[in-house]
Amino acid sequence: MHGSHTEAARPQVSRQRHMPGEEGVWLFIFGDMLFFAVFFVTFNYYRAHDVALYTRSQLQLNQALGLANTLILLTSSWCVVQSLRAFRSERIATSKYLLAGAGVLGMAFIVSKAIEWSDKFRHGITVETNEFFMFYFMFTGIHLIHVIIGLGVLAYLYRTVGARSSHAARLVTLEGGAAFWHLVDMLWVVLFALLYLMR
Amino acid sequence: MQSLVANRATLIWLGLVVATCLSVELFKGLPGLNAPYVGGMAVTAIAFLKTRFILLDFMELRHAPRPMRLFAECWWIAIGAIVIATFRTNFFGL
Amino acid sequence: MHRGLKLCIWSGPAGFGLFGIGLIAFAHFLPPPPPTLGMDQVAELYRNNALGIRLGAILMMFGASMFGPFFAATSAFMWRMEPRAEKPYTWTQAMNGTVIVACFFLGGLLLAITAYRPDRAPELTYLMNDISWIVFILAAPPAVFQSVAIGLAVLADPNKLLPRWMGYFTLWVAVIFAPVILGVLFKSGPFAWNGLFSFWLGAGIVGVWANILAFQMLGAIKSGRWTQVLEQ
Repeated sequence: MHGSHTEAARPQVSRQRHMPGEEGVWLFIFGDMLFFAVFFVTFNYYRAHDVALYTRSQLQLNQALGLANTLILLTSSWCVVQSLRAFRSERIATSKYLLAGAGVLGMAFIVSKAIEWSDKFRHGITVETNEFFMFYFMFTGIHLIHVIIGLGVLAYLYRTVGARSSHAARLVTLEGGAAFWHLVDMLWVVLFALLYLMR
Repeated sequence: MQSLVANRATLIWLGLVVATCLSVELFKGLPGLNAPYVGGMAVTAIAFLKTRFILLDFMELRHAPRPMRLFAECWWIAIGAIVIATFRTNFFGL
Repeated sequence: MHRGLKLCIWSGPAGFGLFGIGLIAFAHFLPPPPPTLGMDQVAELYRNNALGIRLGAILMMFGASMFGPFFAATSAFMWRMEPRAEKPYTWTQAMNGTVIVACFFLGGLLLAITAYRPDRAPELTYLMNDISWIVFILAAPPAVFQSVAIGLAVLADPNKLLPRWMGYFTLWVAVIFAPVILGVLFKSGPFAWNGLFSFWLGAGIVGVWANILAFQMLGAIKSGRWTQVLEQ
């Protein structure tokens, strides 16, 4: 009942421009997007020196695990989107379950990365193997730190959703934190294409 | 009752999943085409198109204040174009 | 009003300037010598500019010491920002800030020692050069947690002594600092100590960020917000 009312009011709400989260969060997110953009271009710059080495090394990556990584993060992002929707229509319990689901998927990402990395180490592949693997380990490593920070953010959101402060104040926090988690997902989407698939 | 599953975000998620699987197929190579870099360009283009939907729909920048939406659109177009232009060609004059 | 505090804040940009003049104009270390340089080339580098490197090192050591008052002023601000009586962020900033002063001071000192007897065996100069540069990038891990502490203190501040976006900006700066330490892993490429991520981005962003922080603290004093918070 309540939900259909929100749905009906939606077109009017969406016609106005709305800033998700607080302004400052976007400074961080856009800053990080620029930082990673420098990563992407630097990768291609070095790649251009020795394309054959990069395409050869790329075949040693596990595309199936990379695909699994991507699907995990996309689904985790979906959970966060739905959690935000649930929170907006005051379904707090659903919102919390979905955040927890997103967190579990985030941890699954870390586990699959650990499997992938240890498999590389077992085959004697390290950061020193060649330039491609330097980028592979550094970029996935720096991204992994973002995932870990993101899990911290999700935990904070989980607490915020059930907190006693006003719905509006909690919504601002939730929107900002959700955007950060989607950023982590989005950066991985590009890294997956660049490192695993682009040849 | 507002549905948890049947909504626009789920549709976009489905599109992103399909695009991801398509990218992996492209990596394996296109039948009857012996220029793998065409696949590489397609993979990169798909990846940046995916970021557009994550930015606009998941991060809710579609209806954000104009400068923010503009930044997002410029980011995926500009960085995507640079990455595609530099990944195989002699862009850097090496 | 608050003359001592203002002096300490100005000490930050001045210290950065002094450090930069020493590094660039006297020691000619911009860009830094690549880690790929051979032993004899490194020895020659120090022989050719022994006096300039030592003079530069003096300026760098004074510059590094001037970060001390700046971090003290930062802690003074954080003390008033943090709502918790135990001031955990303030202490974190003060302690890690001290380590950063030490890294930049020791880096300068090691350059001075290396250039002190440039006619010694080239192996030794080669080693000393490695130590100097690695000591500089050693500042990165404490800098990450220092900026996280500053960022969280700004966001925790109910009085908004500094604007909230500065909190998020500072957290982003922490992300930029993190890869600097990767210089210990590589001798060439963007993560080496003369590379894009280990040197140029880190050094560039730290300069911009510290100056913004200094001007925001001065602004808070000028606008009277600082006095208001003190009177609470």
